[in-house]
Amino acid sequence: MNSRLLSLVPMVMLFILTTASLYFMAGAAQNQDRFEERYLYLIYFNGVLLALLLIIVTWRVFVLVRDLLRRKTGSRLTWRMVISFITVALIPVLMVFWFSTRFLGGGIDNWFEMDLGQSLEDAMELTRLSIDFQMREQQLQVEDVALAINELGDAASDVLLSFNLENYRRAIGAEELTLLGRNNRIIATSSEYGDLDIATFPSEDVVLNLAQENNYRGLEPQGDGSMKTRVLVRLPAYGRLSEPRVLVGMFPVSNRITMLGNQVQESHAQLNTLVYSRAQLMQIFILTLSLVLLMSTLFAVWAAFAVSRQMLSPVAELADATRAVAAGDYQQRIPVLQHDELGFLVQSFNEMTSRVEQAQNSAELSQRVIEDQRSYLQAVLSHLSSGVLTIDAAQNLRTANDAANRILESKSPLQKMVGRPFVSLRSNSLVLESFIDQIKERLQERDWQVEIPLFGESGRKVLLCRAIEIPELEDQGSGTIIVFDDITNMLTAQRDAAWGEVARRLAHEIKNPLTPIQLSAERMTHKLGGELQPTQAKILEQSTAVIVQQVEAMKQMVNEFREYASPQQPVLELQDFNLLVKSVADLYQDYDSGSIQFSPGKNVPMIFVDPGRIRQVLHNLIKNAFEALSETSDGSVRVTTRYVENDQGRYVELAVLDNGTGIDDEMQEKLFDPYVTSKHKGTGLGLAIVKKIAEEHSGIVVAKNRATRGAEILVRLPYRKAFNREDGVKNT
Amino acid sequence: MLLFVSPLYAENEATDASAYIRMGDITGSSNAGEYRLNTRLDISLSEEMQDALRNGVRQVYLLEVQVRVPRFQLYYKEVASEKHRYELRFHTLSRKYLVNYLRTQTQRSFYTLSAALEYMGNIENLRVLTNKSLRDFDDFQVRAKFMLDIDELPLPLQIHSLLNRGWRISSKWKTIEL
Repeated sequence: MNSRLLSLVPMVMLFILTTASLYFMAGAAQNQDRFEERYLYLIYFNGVLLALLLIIVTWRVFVLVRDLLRRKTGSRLTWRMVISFITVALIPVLMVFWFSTRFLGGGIDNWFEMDLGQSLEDAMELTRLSIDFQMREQQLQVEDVALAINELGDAASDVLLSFNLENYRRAIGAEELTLLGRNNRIIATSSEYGDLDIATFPSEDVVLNLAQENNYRGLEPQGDGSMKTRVLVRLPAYGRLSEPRVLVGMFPVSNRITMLGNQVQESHAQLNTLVYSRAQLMQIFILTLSLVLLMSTLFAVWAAFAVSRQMLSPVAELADATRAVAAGDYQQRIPVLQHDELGFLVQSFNEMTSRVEQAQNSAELSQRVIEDQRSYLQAVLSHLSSGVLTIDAAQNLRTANDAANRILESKSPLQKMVGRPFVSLRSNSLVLESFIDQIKERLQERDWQVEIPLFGESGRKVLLCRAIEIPELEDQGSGTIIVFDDITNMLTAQRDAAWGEVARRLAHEIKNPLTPIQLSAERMTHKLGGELQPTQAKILEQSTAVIVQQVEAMKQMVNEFREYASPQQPVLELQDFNLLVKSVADLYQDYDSGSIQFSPGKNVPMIFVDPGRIRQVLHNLIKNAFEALSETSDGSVRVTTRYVENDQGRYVELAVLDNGTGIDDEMQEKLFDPYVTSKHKGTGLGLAIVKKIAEEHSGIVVAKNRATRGAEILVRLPYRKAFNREDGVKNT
Repeated sequence: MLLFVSPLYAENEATDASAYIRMGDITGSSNAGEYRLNTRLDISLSEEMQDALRNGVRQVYLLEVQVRVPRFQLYYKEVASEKHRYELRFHTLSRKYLVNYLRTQTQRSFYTLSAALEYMGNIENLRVLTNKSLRDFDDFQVRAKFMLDIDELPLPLQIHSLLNRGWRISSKWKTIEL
């Protein structure tokens, strides 16, 4: 037996107790002889049971209402079941109650409408007449005695009276014959039993009655069940002194008549009592019925609670478990206690949750694997030295790694801009702007590779950029992966190495023969100078002088070229850029070819540069400008500096402008290559050196024709607050 | 439950007011260990009770006599008590009201109820506390009460009187120092 069934035991016991008690009560109400005394106790007992039930049911209802307000699982279903139970139980019980009371009312009245009452009444009257007949005889006899006593006269002695009374009593068969005077004074008496009973004296109302009539006769029931008749006769008074006298005769009633009279009296009293108390009897029946009704209803309510708890507990458990599962707890299992449809439901629920749990576990496992892979890829990407960007089919940024941020000098991490249109990232940095401008046309293409020169906050850089189309994925669509490397340093190194090799070979191939040539020419002058005629000697001297001069020139050219080609690390110092430019420009104040004018920019800060190298840049540029003015009469050179700070970065810009002939279109592209010149003089290395020095400073050089006349060469040098020698060129 | 029962009682309410028992002062005497009580009772029955009487319902009245010994403050300990029963009934055959002192089976009959009640209420030289030894108590108190004995009524009327105050008539306790 489980705990649920055990909990029903008190209810069943109370039910049995109540039913038994009601049964006895109903029996008591019907059979007065057997249970009359117990009926009241049964009412009290049932009252106690009723109160107990009422407390239990009230408590249950209170708990249910509380659960309803708290929206506890199952409370609404319980409420409905209880209401249904009450309705189902109450309607038939009320109908039975109603019909029972109607039946009782009609039934009881019918029982008492029988002729029994009338028969008894008749029997009673008959007995009464029979006794009255006797009493009338007795009254006549007592009246005769009274006349006889009266004839004795007023003066008759008490002894004589007593004697005569004894005789008269015996003669008329009376039990007792007494002559009473005023105030019940006994004048004379005669009794069959010798002593006088208190009952001899007539009661006050009999005396009162006697005052109006001269005699009285009446039946007097005795305490011991016997009956006597009493006859009173007033004696007429004699003269003034005589007192009013009353003769009292007591006669026995025969046993037979007494017995019959008593029986009739008893039956009549019983029937009358019954008839009289039928309203009260109805009350008892209705009370019993009401108790049955109330008990049944309360039991129905209680049973409704018990049954609904029994039935709904698996449902409530299921509901709770379902809620737990919905909240993510898949370990919910409900014990299967029943082997019915509900039990099957519970079992199915358990199977479902176990499957859901398995599925959830495997999903979590896969999720974890995916997460691991993703974080692995993320780690790889973030530790990659190459910048990686992926762009989806709609040209929105999808991923970016740390290296992309570093190379493209993005001010805020690109990872935070995932989902935004790729083109909208332009404003993020100067490098990014230039980068996007140069590749945006290519994004439509499938696979491509390109070198992209850029100028950013940290100066000029060249990126090697490759793009591959990624295959279409189910949920993300197609896209492009762009991988790029900063190859600036590599390119510089390659070029430096190439030019160094050229310089070494030149020095080797050209410079080596020069010294013997020069020595041979000098030796020729020295050996032959004295032996030749003066004119010949002069020719020789002039020729050797030309040889020596040209050899020197060639040596200088080779040195310059070696200097250009050899890789040099600038020695950076914090310099006042305006002052540095001015010191060089001042040297050209008295130059023949034209005038020079220096316009220092405002707010140009101190910057880290190699002053010697920058002076060389200035010399080369200014000389170059003056050379361009050779065919111009009013030639002038203007040198300006300025500090630029905008969203794309911060740099110092040096501009050298002239109003000369300008730059030929075909020269434009290779102006800064070595040995490219439009002039007759010079090595053709001036602008190449300028470019080299500018790049050594992570800067760039741009040459263009001016809108009016002449050319303009701009040198942009990145502004650095500090310089870290270990990192080479680096902004912090 | 009262909903179903109460209408049956409503018609009786009006007549109940006239039923009462009032007890006059008690006098008593003791002579050689024999105690006697005298008192007069004013008894009035309601129409319903008279009706019941005429319909054969016998009514038993109780004179309850208690002997109490004071203990502390207002508390008394009951040391002896006895009940004297008087039966009042209507004898249809003789058309008389009978009063029977059940202890001695002494019965008197009366034509009128008032005479019967007058007789019953006139308690003279009633021997009480017979066979009770009160010598052990220096200071004791006797009190008496007269009432209708509900338990002697037929069952339907007992239950009726449970719910109807009019039937529960009783005098107040009257005390006498013997």
